[in-house]
Amino acid sequence: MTSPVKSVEVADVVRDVVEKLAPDEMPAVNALAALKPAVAARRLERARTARDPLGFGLGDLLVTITPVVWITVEHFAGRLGDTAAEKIADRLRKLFRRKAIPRRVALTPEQMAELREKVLETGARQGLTPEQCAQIADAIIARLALGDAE
Amino acid sequence: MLSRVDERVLGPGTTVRFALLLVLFVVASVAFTSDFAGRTTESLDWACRLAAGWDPDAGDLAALTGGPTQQAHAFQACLDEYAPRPAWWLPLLGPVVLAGVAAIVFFAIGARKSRRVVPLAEVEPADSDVYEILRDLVATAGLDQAPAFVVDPIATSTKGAVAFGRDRKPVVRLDVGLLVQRKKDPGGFRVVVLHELAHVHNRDITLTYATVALWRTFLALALLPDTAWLVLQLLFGPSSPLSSSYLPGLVRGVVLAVVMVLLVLLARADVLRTREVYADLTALRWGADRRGWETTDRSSGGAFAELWRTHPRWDLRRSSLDDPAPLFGVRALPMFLTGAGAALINNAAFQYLKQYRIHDGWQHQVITLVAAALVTGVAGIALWRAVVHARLTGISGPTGVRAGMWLGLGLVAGELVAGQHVDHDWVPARWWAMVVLVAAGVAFTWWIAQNARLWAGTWRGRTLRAPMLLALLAGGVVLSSWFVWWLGGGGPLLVVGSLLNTDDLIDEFQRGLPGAGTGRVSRIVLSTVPLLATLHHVPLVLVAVALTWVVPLLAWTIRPGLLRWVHEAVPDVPEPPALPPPALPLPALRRVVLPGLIAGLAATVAPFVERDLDELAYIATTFVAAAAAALLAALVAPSTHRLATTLAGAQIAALTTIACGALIRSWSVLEPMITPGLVAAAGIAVAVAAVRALAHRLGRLRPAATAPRRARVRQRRTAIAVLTISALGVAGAEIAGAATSDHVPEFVQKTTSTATPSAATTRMQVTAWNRVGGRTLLDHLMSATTCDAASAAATDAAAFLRVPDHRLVPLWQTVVTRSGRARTTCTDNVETGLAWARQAAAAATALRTGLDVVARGGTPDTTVPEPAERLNLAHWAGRGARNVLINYGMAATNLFDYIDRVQGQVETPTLARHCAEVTRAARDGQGFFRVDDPWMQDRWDSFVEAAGTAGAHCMRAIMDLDEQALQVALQEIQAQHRAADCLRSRLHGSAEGSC
Repeated sequence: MTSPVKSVEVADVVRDVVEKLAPDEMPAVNALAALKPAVAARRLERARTARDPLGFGLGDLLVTITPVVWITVEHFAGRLGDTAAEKIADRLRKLFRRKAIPRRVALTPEQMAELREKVLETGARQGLTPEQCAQIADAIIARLALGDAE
Repeated sequence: MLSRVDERVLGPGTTVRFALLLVLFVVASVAFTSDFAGRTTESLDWACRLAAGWDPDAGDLAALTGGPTQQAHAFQACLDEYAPRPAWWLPLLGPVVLAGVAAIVFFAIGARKSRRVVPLAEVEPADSDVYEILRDLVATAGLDQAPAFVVDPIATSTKGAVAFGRDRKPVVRLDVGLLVQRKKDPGGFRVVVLHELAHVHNRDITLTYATVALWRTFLALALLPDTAWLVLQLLFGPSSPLSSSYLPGLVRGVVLAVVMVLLVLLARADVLRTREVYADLTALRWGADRRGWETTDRSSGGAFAELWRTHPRWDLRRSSLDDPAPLFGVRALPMFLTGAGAALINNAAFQYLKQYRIHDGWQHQVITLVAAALVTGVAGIALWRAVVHARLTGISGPTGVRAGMWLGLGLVAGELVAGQHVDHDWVPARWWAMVVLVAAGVAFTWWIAQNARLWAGTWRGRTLRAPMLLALLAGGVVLSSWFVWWLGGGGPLLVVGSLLNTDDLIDEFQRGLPGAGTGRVSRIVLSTVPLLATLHHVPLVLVAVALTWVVPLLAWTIRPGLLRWVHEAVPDVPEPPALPPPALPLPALRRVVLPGLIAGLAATVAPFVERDLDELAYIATTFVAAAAAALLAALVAPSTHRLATTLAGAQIAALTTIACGALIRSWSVLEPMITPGLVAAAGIAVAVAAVRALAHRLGRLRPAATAPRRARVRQRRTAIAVLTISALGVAGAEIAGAATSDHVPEFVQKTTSTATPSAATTRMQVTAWNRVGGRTLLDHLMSATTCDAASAAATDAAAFLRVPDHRLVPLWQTVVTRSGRARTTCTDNVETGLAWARQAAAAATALRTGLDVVARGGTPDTTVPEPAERLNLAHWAGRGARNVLINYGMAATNLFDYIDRVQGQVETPTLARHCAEVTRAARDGQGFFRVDDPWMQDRWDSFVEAAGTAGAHCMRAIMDLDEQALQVALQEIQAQHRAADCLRSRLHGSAEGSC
């Protein structure tokens, strides 16, 4: 376990991953970055399509990768630095801080499997194929392992 | 064939529709506030009604002719005390509160939409090309202030945008999906942004969200609480014998709420769909790529579901890009909703007016102008657009008849749901008479469409807005006058029934003008008086009638030439516009005017021949002549622009006949028939034109195309100026006359015999009468021992409601008479006054006993207690017997002096007055104290009876103009005069012998 010398934000991780997989979707990442990660994730999961008056009225699936990546990364953020020997004080501190991700973290096989599972689940709702989900999962794992030095 | 018509011709007309909704909320909130305020205090409105004689089982018409109306003053006094209405300004606070809260909601909506967005600067890096693109688009849209662009980060699966905020500070929220797709589909990005900028440019934002805010506030503060209260009343309200009378009102209130919700949702969705198409067309004009609207349509549900959506179907939007014909159509739903909305607005306004007893015609006229202006705006603009579009694309446009039918049906539906003409019934007794309302709607829109066609074919200005404005202003005045007539008297007359019957009318008429006409003619004329009276309630009626034919006629004053407005409407046709020849050329003016003049002059024969008849017959003759002249002119009017020419011809004919009739005799004589005559002529014209148009259509005849002749414009202008001035002059004269003349005497309803109420109802009525002050009044009468107390009690009794049980009415009248005598004699002779007070108390006691018996369910003893004590002669004489005889003598002397003075050339009103005086003097002797001398008592009784009868016969004879009977009556009065003198001298103690 590397010591969290410098932790990064959820947005940073997502940005790197999306930049590699679907650079067109950068505006979506920037937009979500302005919100709190947990809030953004929650709203993405609950996205509704309300009809406003004076809207244009179109609907189509366009931004597919970003929501999956964001939800997944946010879900795991804060848990990745966990060890059994974590002090109670540190745990409490985490509650009041933005979730941070260690700069570089190698995932255990269990964590990897859990991550792939999460990606599959979220991606299916977005209409992605299992192959696409696998690709996304790999990219996330790689980014987490290698950090932003790419 | 001309190419695509600019959809902005004449303005879209959707702002007026928003305005109608806003006005509806405001006006309805007045009604709701007044209802709320009324419910906070216990209202004994029902008790006052019952005490006044209301029979809950008898229906509305009986209620209107029954007790509460007959004893209007006493009834109102009861209401003021036991069912007070809130201060006049309190209901007007409702709209103020509504507007205030709605303003807060408006800003809250904007704030909430702004909460979950991210400024564009945080989403796109500063060097991104999106900023330049947006600047270009804003410049293309010609907006002087760029809207704030924000991003919705959660909208990942949509690529649209929304405009919100205010017109002055607009915000455009882009879906993040739109930004992501931008590189792949730049054309689509432009389309969406241009569409939103179009909304900003068209000033849709504030109006839309203001309507939303106001609606939500209205719903939450007024509609839902009121409906909840009504439902609670229906389900858990106390049950009473009166519940079935109040049930229709409660149910109707709930239905009204539901209908209002439906109306607002449908109307709002319809208007918003229209605004969407307009935004699309604006975006297209600014260069948006048509392919941006190619999309797979995902909306499901049939035509019904579509009515509620705020966006139109995609295929409709696409087709509108090429051909905006749907934007020019006159559709059934908006017309119906407009009619219903206007009826609700008028209903709420008149509810307030009725509650605060505002009956002034001018105030009614001003208030109905609001709803009339809205209807005219919506229907008028839609029809003008349709007519103009048809003209430019070479098809035959709408006649306006279908639109009017839907408008009329909407008005009917609104009135039925709001319960305009009912009180406790479910529907008005003669509900089928509401077809008149539909007919009025048809006539109105037919007139508007005719005007549009007329002016579109002749106007040479750059835009058609000026003549449209003129025609719509005139239409607004006409419609408002119709509303005043319908809501202020005409409607109830037709739909509920007449409150007067002809015999009562004749009696009343002869009372005012004894001997003025008793034949068949009078009967016929007087039977129409209720209807004519309703016309006099409308101050601007003749102005409206004049406008209906003068405004179209003004089209004849335009010198024929190039129609420049065509170029504005179809921008890609090069100047000068190659205009298609007018489909319907104007008939020559003389062809329109001359038949009217000739018919009018011809009809003058009748009044001329009958010029020496009495007034009423002369008026009737002239009226019939004018109507006949109008009919004749209407039958020969030209068939092109039929309604306009028929109206003009008929009015000219009627005016000519009336003018000649006035020349023959005098204006003041004819004055009562001028308004009815001109209105009748207008009605005849519309009916004849409709029949002829229908005949033409059924026979599939083409209107005979008159060969266009050279127009001598200056002559035309002179002629039309003369006609306009005379029409408006007559109208003005009538208005001035109405302002200075005496107030029209209110017809006092007689006791038209209605069915006797059931025993249970009578018990309720008696209990209520006791409750609202009857019991207290009787107490005061029974315990009055001083002159002051007796006088006060007497005044109260005279002003109070009479006893509702008809069996006890004679006893009540005795109480009132005796206490009145106590009051009058108390000033001269306290002892006599108190004696009368004791007699009144005795009668009051008997009455109280009778009432208690009725309240227990029994049959009362209705005998009037005679004064028990018998006085000796001198005492009796001093108690007032002598005064009665003296007064009678004086009255009789005056009568015969008058007859001698005028040497037999009596004027009936003065003679009637003298006879009334004689009768009154005799009546003062009725129910008098008793004297212990049997001979005197006997003589007294026969004198009083004979004198009273003689006086009544005199009055009757005068009204019937029966000279023989008059002679007999006068002789009888003379005889009684001698009897009175004899009795007087007996009281002096002098002169023996029989009298």
